[in-house]
Amino acid sequence: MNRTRRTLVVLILTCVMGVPTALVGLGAPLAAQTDACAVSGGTIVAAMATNPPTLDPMLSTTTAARQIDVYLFETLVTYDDSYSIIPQLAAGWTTSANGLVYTFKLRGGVKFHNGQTMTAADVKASFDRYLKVAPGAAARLAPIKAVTAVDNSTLRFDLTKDFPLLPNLAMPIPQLAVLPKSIIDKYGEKEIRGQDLVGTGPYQFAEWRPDVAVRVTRFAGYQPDPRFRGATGFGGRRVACVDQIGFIPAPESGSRVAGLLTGAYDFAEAVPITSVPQLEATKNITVAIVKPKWGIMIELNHSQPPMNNLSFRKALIASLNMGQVLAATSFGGRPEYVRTSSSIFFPEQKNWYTTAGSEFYNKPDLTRVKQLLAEAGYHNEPITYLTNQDYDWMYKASVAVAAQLQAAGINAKLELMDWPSQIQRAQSLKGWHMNQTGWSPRLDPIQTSVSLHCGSSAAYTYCNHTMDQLLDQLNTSLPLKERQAVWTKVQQLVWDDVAVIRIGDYFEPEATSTRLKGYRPFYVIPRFWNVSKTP
Amino acid sequence: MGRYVLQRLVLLVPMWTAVAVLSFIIVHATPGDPAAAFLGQEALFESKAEIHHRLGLDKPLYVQLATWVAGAAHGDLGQSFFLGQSVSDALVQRFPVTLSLTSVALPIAVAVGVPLGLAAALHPNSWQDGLTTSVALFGLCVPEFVTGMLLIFFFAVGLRWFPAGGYAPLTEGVGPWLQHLLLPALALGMLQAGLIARITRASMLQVLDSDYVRTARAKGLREPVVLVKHAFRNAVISVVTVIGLAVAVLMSGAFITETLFELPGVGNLTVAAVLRRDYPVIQGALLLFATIVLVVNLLVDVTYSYLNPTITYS
Repeated sequence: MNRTRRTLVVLILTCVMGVPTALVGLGAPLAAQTDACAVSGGTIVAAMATNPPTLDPMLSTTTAARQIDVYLFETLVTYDDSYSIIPQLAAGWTTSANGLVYTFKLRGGVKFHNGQTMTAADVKASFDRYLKVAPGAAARLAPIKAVTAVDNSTLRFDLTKDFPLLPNLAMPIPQLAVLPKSIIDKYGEKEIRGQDLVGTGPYQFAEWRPDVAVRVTRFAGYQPDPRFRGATGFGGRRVACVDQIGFIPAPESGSRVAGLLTGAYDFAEAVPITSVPQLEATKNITVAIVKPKWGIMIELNHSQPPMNNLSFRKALIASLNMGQVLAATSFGGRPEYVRTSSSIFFPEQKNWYTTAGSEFYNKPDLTRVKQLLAEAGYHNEPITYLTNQDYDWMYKASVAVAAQLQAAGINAKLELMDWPSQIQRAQSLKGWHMNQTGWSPRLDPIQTSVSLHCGSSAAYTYCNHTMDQLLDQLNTSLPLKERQAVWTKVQQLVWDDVAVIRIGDYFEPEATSTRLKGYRPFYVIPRFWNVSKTP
Repeated sequence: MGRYVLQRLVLLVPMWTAVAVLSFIIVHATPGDPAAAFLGQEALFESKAEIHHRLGLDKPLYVQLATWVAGAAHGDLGQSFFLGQSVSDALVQRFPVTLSLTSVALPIAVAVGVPLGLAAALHPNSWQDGLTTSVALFGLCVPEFVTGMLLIFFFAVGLRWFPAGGYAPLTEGVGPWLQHLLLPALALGMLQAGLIARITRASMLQVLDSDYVRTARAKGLREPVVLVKHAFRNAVISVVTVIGLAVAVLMSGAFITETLFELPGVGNLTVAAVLRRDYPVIQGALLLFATIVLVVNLLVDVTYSYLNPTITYS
């Protein structure tokens, strides 16, 4: 199909993978917050559930690292509130007629925290390093043949084949952060630490005492993006209202709640559902629900009989009352914390949400189970089901699932271990059939390849060549509607094949002091830009 | 005595080596991979080998063990996988917090435990005895994290007399320092106070029933002199043993208390290291704990001969 050359005007952007609302959103009043700070100054103290293993934005895909790096660093393109791609450091881009050349114009006058001005050479150096050190980047970005700094403000990507470049540049797994070339040259492939964590974000690095605190301070030289009315997603018009943000790792949930109640913290991530009534009854605390947050998933080891038998896998689905499992995770099913959904993407992700394949989802049928088990030749062999208590909701889901499976005549045996042990055990493929886990929101269907593609370790030997072909189609720059059609087929096949089992959606509450104005939960990253702290 | 102390110090070496080897074996036998904590689950499969190579985990285990033990013998406990610093530096940075907690918890434990135990021994089967038994049982039976959470609930969240967690170094003033440490010290101290009270009571009861105490009373000595100079001085050997154990327990990392109260001490560091499989830190911390226990035991043994001159070491 011939492509027409598209020229982007700075304020009118077309996202190849985005939705028209992204265009409308830039010019029209957004549901997103405005950039006005109610009050400037002050310090936000945030109690976080995990410790970052590193602050080098390219080295880790962990949420803990991303939650802080997003304040310090920016990328060429990123995601907005509707999970559509928007420009960030890119002023705009053009695509060649054959789709194999992307030319990005960079925003002018963007300053790094060390005072240097960003140029195309910095972006190229960052990209080159990303290819070398970011986990999985070399394979994922293999179709990028060359990246060239054409001039100070122009960067060209040459591709070997049709490829969804923009989602791959935007996806923060890990973040394709832009750092000064001088820093890249200094560190090479070594971990960047300390005051050399220099980016273009609204906040700059101040201090990191591992396991104790990370402190970032307002970057005076930051210019909010004038193309947007307000912050949206990970980008938009971000404004640093407070002078300083302290991220305190507080792995114990009771400590986070207590600190919030005493006023030591302004924000507490992932508060237990059982604490919510007390927090809601407290005058100066607001409870928000992060929606979406987790998809409760069960990964299946397709190398272990009887899990390699489709009839047996279908019997698992027919055994499960997803609503009851979700009720167990939410201490009785407070509906605001759970949602039955067969879709890998959440309803909030309008581009990719689909109910394809849900014919047997949440429709327990013990007669059908019996029939399927007989077809599979199942004779009550133990089914080892890995779980952990590090994530309370995973544990509760697995207990409820195991009980339902046992009631249906499937001899499910829970094996409890801590999360790192579970990851290692699952990867070994030895001695387990079901692995309880959770998927944070995927941002683009290409992210699901790692769990569904033949030969991928995280697919646990699931292999279906039709699936591979569909996934390979997704890994191109097809227009959105066509990709959506392909994705619908992928999801249908996920359920027809029972590649994985999706239980439903789980949302976590988080809580803030009422002194924080303008805070809105999003994805797995608390956003304190455009947030004021009133006295 | 000097020779005895020297012998004990020399014995530290094989014990210490055994701990070093055992700690290495235990951490490496435990399932879990530090690469997972660093990379994140989504990236683990592709990039694990690179991380293992960077951390030296792709070398044969016996090579890793030899490197670790040889380094430790020279005071080099290795580099943390995650902290960007040497294990020694990390422990040195965190130890003052644990020491601070101990310095507040121990006096609480002794100040509560010894008088309670004495009161119970002097008035057996009375209300004082009942109170001591109750307090001791509470301290011994209620886990420190439950005590800690109750203290946070009442005194921090409820009354707002104390912060719910965190640490203020002494450089910020004695007031803030103590304010941050009092609740965790109480949580820890109550457990040890219970033990000290029980042992004090039992030791005193035994000593009060002995002939020399009866003789001292028969000689007409005042009761306080009998109790302090004759009875308690002999009963204190057992109490010192328990206090010594308490010091060792407190200083070797109050894992749960430090985690609950977010105190950046050695215990908290060790818990975080275990959760992310930071092997060098775990091994280094275990060595430190073993050293503390061995040294404290030696000091307790030396104290015996001071308290009771009839005790000699040869």
